[in-house]
Amino acid sequence: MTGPVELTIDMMIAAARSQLKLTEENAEQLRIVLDNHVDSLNRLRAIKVDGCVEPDLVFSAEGGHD
Amino acid sequence: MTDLAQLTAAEQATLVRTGKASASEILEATLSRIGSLNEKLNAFLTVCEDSARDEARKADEAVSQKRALGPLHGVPVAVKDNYETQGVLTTAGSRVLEDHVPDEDATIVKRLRNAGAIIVGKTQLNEFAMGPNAFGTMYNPWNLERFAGASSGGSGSAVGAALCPIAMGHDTGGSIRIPASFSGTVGLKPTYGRVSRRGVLAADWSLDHAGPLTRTVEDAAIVLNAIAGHDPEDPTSSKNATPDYVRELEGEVRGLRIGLPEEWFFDIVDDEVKAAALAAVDVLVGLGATRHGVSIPMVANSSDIGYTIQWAEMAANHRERMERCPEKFQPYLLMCLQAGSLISGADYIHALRARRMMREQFLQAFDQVDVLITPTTPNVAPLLTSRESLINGRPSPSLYAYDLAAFTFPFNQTGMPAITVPSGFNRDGMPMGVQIVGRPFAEGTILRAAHAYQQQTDWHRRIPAL
Repeated sequence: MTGPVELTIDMMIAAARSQLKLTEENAEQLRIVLDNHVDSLNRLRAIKVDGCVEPDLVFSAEGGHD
Repeated sequence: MTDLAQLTAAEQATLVRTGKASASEILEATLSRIGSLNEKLNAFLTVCEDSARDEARKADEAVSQKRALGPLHGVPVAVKDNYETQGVLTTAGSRVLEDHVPDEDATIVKRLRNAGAIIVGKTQLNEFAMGPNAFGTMYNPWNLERFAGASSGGSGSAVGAALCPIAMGHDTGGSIRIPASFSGTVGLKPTYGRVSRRGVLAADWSLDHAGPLTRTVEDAAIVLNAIAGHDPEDPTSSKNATPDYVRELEGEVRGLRIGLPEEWFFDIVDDEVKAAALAAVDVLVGLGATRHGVSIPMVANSSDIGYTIQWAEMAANHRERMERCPEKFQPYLLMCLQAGSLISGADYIHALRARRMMREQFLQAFDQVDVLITPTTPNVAPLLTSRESLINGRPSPSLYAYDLAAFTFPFNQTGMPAITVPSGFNRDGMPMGVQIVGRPFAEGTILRAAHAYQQQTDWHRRIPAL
């Protein structure tokens, strides 16, 4: 998938190298992390969630409000 | 003569209570050991010598005046540097907070003091419990060329090296259990809501847990007794009743149903670490527990669910700081936080819904068994110089940067209590850990199982030569 996240990552790494003086090695490490992050998001989106499942907007270990 | 600093908390408290050693003597032994080893380990950011000496003197007065004594009376305790401590620098491992001196103790720190503990210092951590080290590398006491674990690496190093018997940690994806496993110690992550987090600087609100690192399960139970219970100042704090966790240790494990997950936890794991975890199961089965396979298919999605939640929450948590003083963050963490801010609301909510489904599968497993047992980490502490994760000498098929947390992170997402105990040493002499997990608020059950196992083994009695 090429979308706003991937494009933004390219821009972020370029900005990081110039503004934060990231070394080439650190920039490469960062790209690996961010690429993995994008892969992870794509796998997350592929998880089938039943229509009736609501998010735990207030989390508790017992489920929903404690 | 035994070094007083190297005793367990239970042993130190008994000596103080019976007048066989004073709190001041124990503290001086502790300060001496910290003084001689901290330069090697970088475990402590701050050592509270003056205030601790004052507290120890008062503790000794209480003994001589025969006042009521708490269960940790005179015991030196370290707290991770993201626990707020009144009048003591609290950096959360970041230069963003390099001048932060709180006006008040975190609730846990107050409760430890009420139990008689002496706060001896603040331990090192990764920046905001997530990033690189802003204040230098933390070193593993079993091999100074190896990783101490994250993010409570200073606490693991301090307890593993017997600088003090208890150090408090904080666990968002495994940050108590991973350094505990790597340092050959016990690490307890209680149920979400069991222990107050007020005054513990947050990493991720719905994943953070606070708990102790100790050398024995008994000490972990003593600490949990001191800190558990509702805190009206923490909206996530549970009102569930708290049992006496030390008394819970006395029960048998006969009839305990042990679940071995059929997915994930035994798939990508070092052979020696896996064998040690299964050997721990054998020990408990030998004491009368029974072994059962359980299926939790969605755990294979746990990293994708968890990191989406974590990155989004940490980006929201630090947004104001990122705008106000970006130059004070380690560049790597700043980039990760900025990436987290790109996660959409829809993806975050999808992750929360998937988390609920995964938790339901775990709860269904707990209809069949009392505890789950897994290796704590896929491997022992890696070399500080290693650039990739190795399993059985080969690069891990998972490229995810945080895969050391693969077996611990699911229980931050489900909020279930989990404890790691030492399960042996590998061929390189590095400690390994086994994780025991319970249903929500079943800390008594996992402590009992862990204690029963520890009574049959002596891994926890070893202290590294430094």
